[in-house]
Amino acid sequence: MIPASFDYIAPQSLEEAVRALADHGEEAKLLAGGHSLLPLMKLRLANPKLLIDLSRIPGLRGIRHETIKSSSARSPHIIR
Amino acid sequence: MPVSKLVGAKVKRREDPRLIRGLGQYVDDINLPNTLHVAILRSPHAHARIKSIETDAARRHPGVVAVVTGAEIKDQIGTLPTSGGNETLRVPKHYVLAADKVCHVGEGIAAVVAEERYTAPDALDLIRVEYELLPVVSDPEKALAPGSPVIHSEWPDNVAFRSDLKHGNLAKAFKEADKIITQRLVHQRLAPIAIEPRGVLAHYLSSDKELTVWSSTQIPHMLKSHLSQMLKLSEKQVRVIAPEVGGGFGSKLNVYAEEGLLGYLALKLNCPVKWTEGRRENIQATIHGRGQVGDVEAAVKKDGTILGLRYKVIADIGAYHQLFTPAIPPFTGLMLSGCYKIPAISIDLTAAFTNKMSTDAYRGAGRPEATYVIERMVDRIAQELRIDPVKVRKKNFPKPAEFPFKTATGVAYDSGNYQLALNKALKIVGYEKLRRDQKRLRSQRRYLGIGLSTYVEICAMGPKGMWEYGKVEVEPTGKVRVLSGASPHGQGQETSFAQIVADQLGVEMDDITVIHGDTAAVAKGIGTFGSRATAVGGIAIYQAAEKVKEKARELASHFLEVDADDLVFSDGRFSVKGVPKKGLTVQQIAQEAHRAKNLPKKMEPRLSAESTFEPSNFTFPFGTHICVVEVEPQTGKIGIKKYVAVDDCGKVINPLLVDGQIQGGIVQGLGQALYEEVVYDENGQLLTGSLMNYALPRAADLPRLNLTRTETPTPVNPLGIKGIGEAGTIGSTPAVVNAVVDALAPFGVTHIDMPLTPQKIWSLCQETKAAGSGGRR
Repeated sequence: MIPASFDYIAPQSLEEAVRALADHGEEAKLLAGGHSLLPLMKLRLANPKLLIDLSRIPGLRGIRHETIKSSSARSPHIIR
Repeated sequence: MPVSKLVGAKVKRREDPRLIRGLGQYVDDINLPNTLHVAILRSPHAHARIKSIETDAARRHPGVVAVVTGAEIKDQIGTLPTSGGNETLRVPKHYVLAADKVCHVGEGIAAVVAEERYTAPDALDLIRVEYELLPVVSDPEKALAPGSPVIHSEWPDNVAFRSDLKHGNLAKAFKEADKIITQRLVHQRLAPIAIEPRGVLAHYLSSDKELTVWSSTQIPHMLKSHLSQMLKLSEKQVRVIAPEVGGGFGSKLNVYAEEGLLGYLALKLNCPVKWTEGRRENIQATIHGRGQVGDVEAAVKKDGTILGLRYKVIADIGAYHQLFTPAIPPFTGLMLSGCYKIPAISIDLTAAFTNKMSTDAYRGAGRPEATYVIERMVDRIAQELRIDPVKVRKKNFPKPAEFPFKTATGVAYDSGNYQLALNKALKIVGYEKLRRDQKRLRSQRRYLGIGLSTYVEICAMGPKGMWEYGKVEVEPTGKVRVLSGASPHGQGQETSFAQIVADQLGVEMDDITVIHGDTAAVAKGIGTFGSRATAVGGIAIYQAAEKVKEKARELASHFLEVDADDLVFSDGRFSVKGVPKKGLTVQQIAQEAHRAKNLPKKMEPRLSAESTFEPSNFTFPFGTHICVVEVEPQTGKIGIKKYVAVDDCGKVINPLLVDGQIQGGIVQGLGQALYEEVVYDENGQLLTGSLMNYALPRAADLPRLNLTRTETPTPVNPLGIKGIGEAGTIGSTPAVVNAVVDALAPFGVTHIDMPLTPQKIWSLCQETKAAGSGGRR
């Protein structure tokens, strides 16, 4: 149950995360709660080269209830 | 026995505070300085010749200390042992790492030893193996068919062993029958899934020439003997320690390739080496259970009397024999009579090699199969003859006065009262009302099912060589050390053994330490399996404690200068009859025995004694499980409404421990009935290789269990205890299946093979609907 080696970044903003994702494409995976990804990595069924940790991005913390006025629903969704 | 205070009491498990707080020390928690870490390259193919292995890149990988392949080490380590079986047994050579050919997915080929546990699996990826693929056979029936690929070319076919046993006059039984009922039954393969996977740590101390192996095992003493043979060491040079072991269910009643391999690597590298099994390895390379497919024929009279039973069965062995592989299917034959008087029984058994992991003992080990056969058949009989399944059971039960009851298969059931347990369960579940409810609900197209299982099992292994050892030592301080050759791994004998000794010696439980699982601490032993630890190991402890008490009595008589017969023993103190103030406690006696300044002639110092116990017969726990389900034909969903279990394991030492065993056992049996199956495809690929696709029962799936007992002591041992480790698993599976089949009777369903997945149920109901019976009868 030991994952292969990988790089890790924890961007501070959404823009930074999007950029990292664009730069690394398929080789990168987003890390949110990790409940699916980390077990797969430990089984070596997933071997991403880079993990982009979303936990430091202020806009993605907590759940907020908003009345949906337009079709663009927003759901910030990292819960720890 | 004296009047007991603790035996029979609900004493909380002494093990739990450390386990619950995460303080238990499992193999993986033990860290020795400079430990090297081992990872094993396993075959992705079910059957292939190894043409070449390229290990240079792995050897050059930073942090890698050594790489070994099967071909390099095959002459340096003995093959894996196997026991049991008859003269037809074929034992293929089973190397710790495959030398030239792999026979199942997950078979080890090479091992990497590295400085860090992260490096070793990285280096595995650098090993290149060239395989020549061979034809695969993964289905045991196909493996025996003419033209099947042959797995072990030493023999002309895939027969691992055979036996054909006939008891009683079968021809007569089948001639006199009013009806012959036949059924094909599949006992699917299961993975034991102990919560702690296996793990091995081995360390060779060259100064003492002693190899210490920590292993997550149920049988440290047996493992010690086998390892010493495999590694060509004397037994004195090998010490095996089973530290905290997180469950086994039979899967750690074995000698595994990794235990031999790690021992070898420790000797060769002169460094501690550790391997911890991952869950995927655990499902691939730890033994599986069950794996039988058979045809049953029951000869019956119109009134439900069973005259005879034939079981023609194929046992799926896997590619090799593990330690007790050949011993398991014969248990099914031995117990086919169930708790019924059946005058004629035959079992025609063929064990087949297949390109899969070995099967071996898994909780119940052959008895769940027997119970499933007979309990499913009794329900089939009831359904065919339109008699209530309770009546068929009662008609064929032996009466309490008929015990010891000898079955046609040749075993003598020690004691029993099957009627009592059944009646109690019927009353608790409210059987008559349930049948009325069932009828009423069917008219509303709701499908309630009531499933019974009246089981008997064989345990407390056993007579003929399966003794157990115990020692009781009272230290000069009055603290008591209890040593057992049994090797509990979650069952709670640190509690129950202490209860036995506390009662015998009148000392506080807190003053008693139970020591097990270390071959250097405990002189000898067999281990924990077959529900034997208490019913055999506990008796050895009891006998040792009795001896200690007798020695203490002799000493008290000497010190107090009175006749031994004039001493009264109560609350840990010998006092002179009529002069209660004149007396000595066990602790005082122990101190004097240690100082040894004034001992009777020829008496050895110290207050301690040892004993071995070998029972004269097995014990036969029994009981009734009743499961009530409601099945939704539209979705195939099975909801368990009620579960009642009345179990009889003879005298009970600790009701909490017994309930725990029954609960866990029922859940595992329910797992077989509803969820679990190790699936290999026709290429021998394991499709259920992780807990993402091997379905275990989860807490939310479980019904509330209504557990109670009857108590029929066994005459086989002085405490009257039978053993309870496996009964829950054995009793529950047929109860669940019988309930579901009963629920779906209006659909014309007479049998469904396990696991009873919603998909299967739904399809069956659809088929019947398509055929026009429309869910009515």
